[in-house]
Amino acid sequence: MQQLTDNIYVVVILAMVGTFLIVSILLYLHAYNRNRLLQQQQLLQQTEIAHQKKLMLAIFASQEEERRRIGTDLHDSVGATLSSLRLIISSIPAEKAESCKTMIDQIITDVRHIAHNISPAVLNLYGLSEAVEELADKINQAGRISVSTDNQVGTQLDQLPHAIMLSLYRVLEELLNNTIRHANATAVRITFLEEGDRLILTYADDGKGLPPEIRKGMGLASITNRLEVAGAAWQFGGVGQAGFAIRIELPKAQNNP
Amino acid sequence: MSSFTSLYLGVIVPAATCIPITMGIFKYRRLPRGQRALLTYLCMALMINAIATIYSHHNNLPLLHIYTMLEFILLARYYALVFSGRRIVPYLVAAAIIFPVFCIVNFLFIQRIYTYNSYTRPVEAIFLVLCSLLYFATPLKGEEQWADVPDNWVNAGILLYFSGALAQFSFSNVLEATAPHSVIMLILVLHATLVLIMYILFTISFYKCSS
Repeated sequence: MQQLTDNIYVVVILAMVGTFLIVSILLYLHAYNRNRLLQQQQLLQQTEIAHQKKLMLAIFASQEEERRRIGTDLHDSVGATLSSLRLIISSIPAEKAESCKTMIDQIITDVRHIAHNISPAVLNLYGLSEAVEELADKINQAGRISVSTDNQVGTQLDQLPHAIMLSLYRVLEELLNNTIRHANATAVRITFLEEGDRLILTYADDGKGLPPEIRKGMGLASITNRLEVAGAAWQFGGVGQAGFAIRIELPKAQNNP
Repeated sequence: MSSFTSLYLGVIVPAATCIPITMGIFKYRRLPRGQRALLTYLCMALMINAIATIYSHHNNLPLLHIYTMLEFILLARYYALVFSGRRIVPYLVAAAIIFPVFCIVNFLFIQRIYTYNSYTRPVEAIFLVLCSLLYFATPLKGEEQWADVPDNWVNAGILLYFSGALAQFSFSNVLEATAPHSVIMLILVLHATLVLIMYILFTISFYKCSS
């Protein structure tokens, strides 16, 4: 009996300590496996995001290529044909030809504008800073909104990779479109500056601002898509800002051509 | 009984219930419903521990019978909230009704109320170990690290304590009748240490409730 009771003490103590150790090890393995699974899931997500970015970049590139081709075709083919037509009309009696010539001039101007807007030649030739200046000048000429630009980073803008320049240009184009159409604004300020290893682009108008529900909706989807693919961070609004404002940050390191 | 062992078993470990309770009160607004149910359980444990300490010079085992019932009901409630929306919930509710009946039948007709409830307590332990295993078997949700999920710490505490103490629960009356005093003390110290670990893990769980 003595032998039996001795064994029961040992069994109880062993069972308590042993179970504790086994459960501790199982819990550790459980935590380790879950964390590893989580890491793998995150890695997979990152790979998927990178893949999606590449796809978007390819879509944007093919869109731009298509725009460039259409722009060139319009300018070279339709524009040239219209110019020839104008010459032919010059040979018919003046009173009949005048109204035709006016219409053809209007069509030539329209085609030139469309061709230019579809593919901004100035961006390809002179870089982003010049293209933004030209964009601002065009809107200033209309006289309804005053656009001012302040480039504090000089030629750094023109040294960005072409895809990034194009993304920023399209984003600015879209922002200006939104301001003209919806903001009821009188002035827009575009600033390029440098903060440490980042290029900063700020855009602000003095219009009625952007309602929060549009920020979450599809309204700015194309802008945010382009910024995401360009690897930029962005933030809407500004301290004490009455109208619409956006601050875009681009890390310089990833944008060295 | 040496003075430290008596201090450890009679004061330190029962008073350690205050650690998770303090953390729970401090974080109360951020606690989800399951964690609040756990806090209720800890408050009940503190109250019973306090009464047991006051009556420590008498046979206070009737308190353990009551404690077992309340502990089961409150921890079943915790699991009903954690498993909210799952098929197991009605079974948890049924268990929370049947088990106290089993406890009452046990101390009225099977084991005297002044002896250790070595039939009901192991049943409770097995039930709670199964619940915690079911919790850990549930597939991963969200994108949090293991250590950032508060319920993981709670279930780690329940699993460690109830599985570790199962042997003691089962053989308590046998040991009481046959074992030397020093061996019983050693087993009680081991049990108290498991309780302390569970309370520390509950404290971490409350601390992790940040959103």
